[in-house]
Amino acid sequence: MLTMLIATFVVLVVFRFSIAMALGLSCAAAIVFFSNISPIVMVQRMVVGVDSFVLLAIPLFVLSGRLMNEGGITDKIFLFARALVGHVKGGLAHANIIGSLIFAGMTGSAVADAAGMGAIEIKAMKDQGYNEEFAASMTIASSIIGPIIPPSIPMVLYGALAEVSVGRLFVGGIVPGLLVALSLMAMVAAIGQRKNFPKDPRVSLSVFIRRFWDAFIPGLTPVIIVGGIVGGIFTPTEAAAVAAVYALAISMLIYRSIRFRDLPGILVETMVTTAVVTFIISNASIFSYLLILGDISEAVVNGLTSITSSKYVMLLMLNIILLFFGAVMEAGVALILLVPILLPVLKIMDIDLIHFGVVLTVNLMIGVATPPVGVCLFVVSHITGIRVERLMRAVLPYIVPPVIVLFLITYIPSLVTFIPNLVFGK
Amino acid sequence: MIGSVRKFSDALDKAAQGLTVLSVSSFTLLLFAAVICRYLLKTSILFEEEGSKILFVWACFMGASVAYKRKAHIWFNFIERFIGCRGIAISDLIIHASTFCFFSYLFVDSINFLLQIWETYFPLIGVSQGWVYLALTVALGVLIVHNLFFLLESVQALTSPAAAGEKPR
Repeated sequence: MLTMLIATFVVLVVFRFSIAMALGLSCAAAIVFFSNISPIVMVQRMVVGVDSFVLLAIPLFVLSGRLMNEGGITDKIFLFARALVGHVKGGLAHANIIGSLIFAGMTGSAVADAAGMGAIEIKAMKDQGYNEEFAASMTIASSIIGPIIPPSIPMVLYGALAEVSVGRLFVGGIVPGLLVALSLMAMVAAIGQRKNFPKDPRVSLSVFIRRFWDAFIPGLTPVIIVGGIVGGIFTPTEAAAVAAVYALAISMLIYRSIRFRDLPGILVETMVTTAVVTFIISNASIFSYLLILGDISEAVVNGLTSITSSKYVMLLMLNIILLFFGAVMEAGVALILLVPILLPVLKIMDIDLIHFGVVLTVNLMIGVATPPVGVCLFVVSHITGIRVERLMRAVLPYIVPPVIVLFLITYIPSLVTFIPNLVFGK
Repeated sequence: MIGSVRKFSDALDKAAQGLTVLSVSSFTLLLFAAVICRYLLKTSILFEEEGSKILFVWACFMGASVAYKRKAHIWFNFIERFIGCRGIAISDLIIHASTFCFFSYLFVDSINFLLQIWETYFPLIGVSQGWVYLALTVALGVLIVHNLFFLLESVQALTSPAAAGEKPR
């Protein structure tokens, strides 16, 4: 049954079925023709797959990011980042990274960062004489930071699938996120010296204070989210709801950039974005159920542990597997399909689930910037009009710093686990 | 016939969007109210988790139907360059026909399951657990109508000489 299940899924995906439909149809075919399982299981699994309090955080973080984008808050963040680092050589490229770092604290999505901040950042960099491909590549590379710094939609997904604390995962992402930002800034500094990148004149103190204040109110979002979770004030799902209501309040009441009549459209768009993922989860829930019945996890465990018994070699192998799947699949899809299969391997090899969750997030996020299925590549190509093929080549050097960070956090687990252990205890 | 199916599909899409707005705003406010009640009014909303989960499931399946109508679900198109316009049109027809069978099969199954589960209740809020599963049944009903429209559209694309050279998606 398993061979039939996986082969049907692959064939349907190749022949243009949506991922959700390919999962659902392959499961239906396997259940009806190759097993004696009651078909009613499909209905039950589809609902159980999404009936989760943790997953509820996803639409709320998407909503919060969308409200920030629609409310013009991204402009204020970029202006503040520009005032902060614009006066150094390659200042706008640094501001691009700092802007993504701040925006990462408000929404847990790389696409939201590339789409929201990207248009403003690339235009400003082009106007200052930067090469358009460099500006676009920097925007794509810095969007990786979005889901690593809390809040993070992939971490919510992983938390729900692996049944581990989302709060711990969020806090564990802080150091890796900062490391990715610092490594990209180091690269910009090195290229900037060689290519003599332009810089802004230093802004006056009054302008700096004004821009700081403009960004301060939306900038409180990550403080509310992380502070609330760490302080035990609310769960990650409640934190997401508070962040969404806060984003709504500042967009409608303070900046007055969103009107009441805009809300239904924003809510529908939010749920369409979310439902694309949750409909896959719903269908993948039947798929995972059949994989478990077919003992595929045991086969994967036996296969991987027969190659090595070393935890470090296993982590290397898992990273290579994930980099491959992250490159050829949408990150959320890869996560939903792979985590249930890999969990038994992690448990047998005594790999910390929080550590692995953050490594997996960084790994799959590198995939959003790499060909052939890097979603941020497509978003930025759409914004700039640069052909995807050209962007794919241009972005490759800027993927090197995040990959170095990935291997650092893989082999120095305390970079991930130190803060969660300090805050929540071991 | 295709015109009336389109109208019906559009009307159902509007209704699904309305239900989506209602459920997303309701669970957002419910969760926010739960935090406010806990810290400001020193009281708890006991049905916070169960209530918000029911609303979330509804939002997910209604959202999935809206996404389906907009063809927003994720799919890979790398094979298109090898099969040409006619190949795409044929593959669209196969996709919509098999999806129609899948949705219809699930729809019937979901009604049977609903009948079985309707008498089981959530312990805190005391409502039937069937309300959660009803979201899937309703979404499948809407999806069948959207799918039927896409199916008729792809048949038309294959049979009409004018449309034969056009890319159907």
